[in-house]
Amino acid sequence: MNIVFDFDGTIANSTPYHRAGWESTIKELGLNYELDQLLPYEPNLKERFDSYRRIKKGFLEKVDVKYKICSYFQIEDEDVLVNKIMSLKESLTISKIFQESLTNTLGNVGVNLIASLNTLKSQNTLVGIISSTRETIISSFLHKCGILDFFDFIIGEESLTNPYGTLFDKPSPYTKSVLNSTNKAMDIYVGDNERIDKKFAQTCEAKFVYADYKTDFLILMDKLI
Amino acid sequence: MMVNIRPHKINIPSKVIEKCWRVYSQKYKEIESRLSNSPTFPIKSLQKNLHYTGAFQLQVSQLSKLPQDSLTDCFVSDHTTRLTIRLRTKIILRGIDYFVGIQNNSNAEKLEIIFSRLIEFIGILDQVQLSPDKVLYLSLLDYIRNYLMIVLYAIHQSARELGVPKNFYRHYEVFLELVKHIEEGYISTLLTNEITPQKVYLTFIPHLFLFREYFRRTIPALNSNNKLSLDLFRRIRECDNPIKILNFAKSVGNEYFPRKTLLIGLEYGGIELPFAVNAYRKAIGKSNLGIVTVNLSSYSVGSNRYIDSIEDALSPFFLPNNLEECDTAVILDDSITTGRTLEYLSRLLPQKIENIYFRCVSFTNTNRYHHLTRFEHGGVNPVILDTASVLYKSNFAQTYTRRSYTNRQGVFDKKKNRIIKMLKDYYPKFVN
Repeated sequence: MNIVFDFDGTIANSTPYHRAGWESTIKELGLNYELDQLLPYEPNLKERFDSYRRIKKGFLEKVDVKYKICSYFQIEDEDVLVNKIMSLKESLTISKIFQESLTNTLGNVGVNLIASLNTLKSQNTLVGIISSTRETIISSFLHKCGILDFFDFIIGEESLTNPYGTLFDKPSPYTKSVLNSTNKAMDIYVGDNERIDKKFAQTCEAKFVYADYKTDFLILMDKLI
Repeated sequence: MMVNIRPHKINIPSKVIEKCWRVYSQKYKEIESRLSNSPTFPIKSLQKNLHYTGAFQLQVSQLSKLPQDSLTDCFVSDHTTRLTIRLRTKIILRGIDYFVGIQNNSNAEKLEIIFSRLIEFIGILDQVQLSPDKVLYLSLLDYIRNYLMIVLYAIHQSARELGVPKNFYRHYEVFLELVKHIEEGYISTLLTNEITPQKVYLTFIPHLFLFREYFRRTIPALNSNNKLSLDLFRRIRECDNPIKILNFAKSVGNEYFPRKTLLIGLEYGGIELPFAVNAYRKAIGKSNLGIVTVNLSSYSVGSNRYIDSIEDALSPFFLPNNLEECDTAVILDDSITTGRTLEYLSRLLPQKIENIYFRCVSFTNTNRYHHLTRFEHGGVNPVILDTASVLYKSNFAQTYTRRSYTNRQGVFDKKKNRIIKMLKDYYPKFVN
């Protein structure tokens, strides 16, 4: 059996890292704005701050902000700028993960996730992650928690972006083609979004199981296996 | 663009690099695609006089046109052939005495070679007229700066191990003054192809005698630390190419840094870089910035001291209080691979230094997969290498296993390997 997890909000309470990463980015760029002014809350996006559309709108439509960002990166092309902002935020998010105490980081892992991964691996289950967060951020978090090796594959933003730079987020069928191209299969998709994640599971002909980081993963896995 | 590395995780752990190699290798590839493979001089006429090893060279056909002076006597009439390598068509102006550290003799013998050459060359430099042969003049400065860097490193290591002798701070300052003068002459000539002879060099000679005496006394005491003793006079400096040093100095020297900026050179590879940057700044009319060199690898040379404070890493002649006066640090090194040293150093620097920038001469990580994924190694965070922070591709060979840093033929640095091979062929008696 193959079980694939969503990352943000499902196996990890990753919001504090994304938020801290963005706040550091704003500070580094020298912008006199609060995060919520630049990336206002959108209920359907939950923890995800990293939408290119939002970054373009929030950062580059304000003349003073755009000026500062152009000066910082010494670039004017908007698409390149968005990528640069994302890379800066990626690095600062990773830094926040590693700077935090291990106890606090482990407090942000899904309840009993580590024990359930142990069980899954002892039964030779293939375990993966599909998420639109960057693979480097996901891997850093999992490494910090000592569970990176449990995962056979991680498909993140980098893999979901086509060679022309377009990101195909869930539930796009592109994700399925990425999965197929790496010869990976998915029987169950565990996610925290009843709409997008469920539709994505259907697209991939997999069973959808709802869970978030507050779910007890040992109980959940007992039911599944 | 300058990335303040202070808030960033600099070393990405090996497991993360391994899991995300496709992503990181792509990021590294993008950085490498901007780097130059073939460095060029601003003065094109000098280009043909540079050997691939970084030495200056003269074609045999040029010899008859050289002026009859002490410079020509020194290099061209060198019957010992220890200063030059004579090939059929050219003379390479870095011989076995340039690479003193590589010779299979004792530290005491190496010391005598270094100081007798240094004193002899400074005497020649003092006699240089307005129109010497420029290549020979640059070679003379090349030799002197090489010896000065070898000695500077040895002074630091020796003082780290045995403490700074009484009343030595003043002599050390004079030594740094000599380094400054030589580096300014070297960079300015490389930049403009013009020579401005100075008549100050002879005043430094008594101080060099003093340093020679110091080492004569301390070398026996250093023998108890075998690793330190073996490496007291370093063998080959990886970044020892005048074009690379000049262009690096230009790149860093042209940037704006606030007045309270400290240039930090990482020993041994980056030991010369802060001096070169200040020399370039002087050439373009900028003021000097503070300089210090640090060594974070005392453990690797056998010292029992564990470095857990910046004082242990700094040059033993640098007063740590001076760090408190700085708000910006620019760390300079010859190359970067894992970023571990840089991360360690940036953590040790006082929090008062809010801005830490990094510049290095060379970088190539796409061929170092096994090195980066080796236990507790990892790779440098690509974000800190954005835009102008690095200029050239490094000469490191492709790894093939995690058990070794070398390629299948046992080569770590391709250029260094070629230099050693050339020296072994030409000087079989001197090199093991």
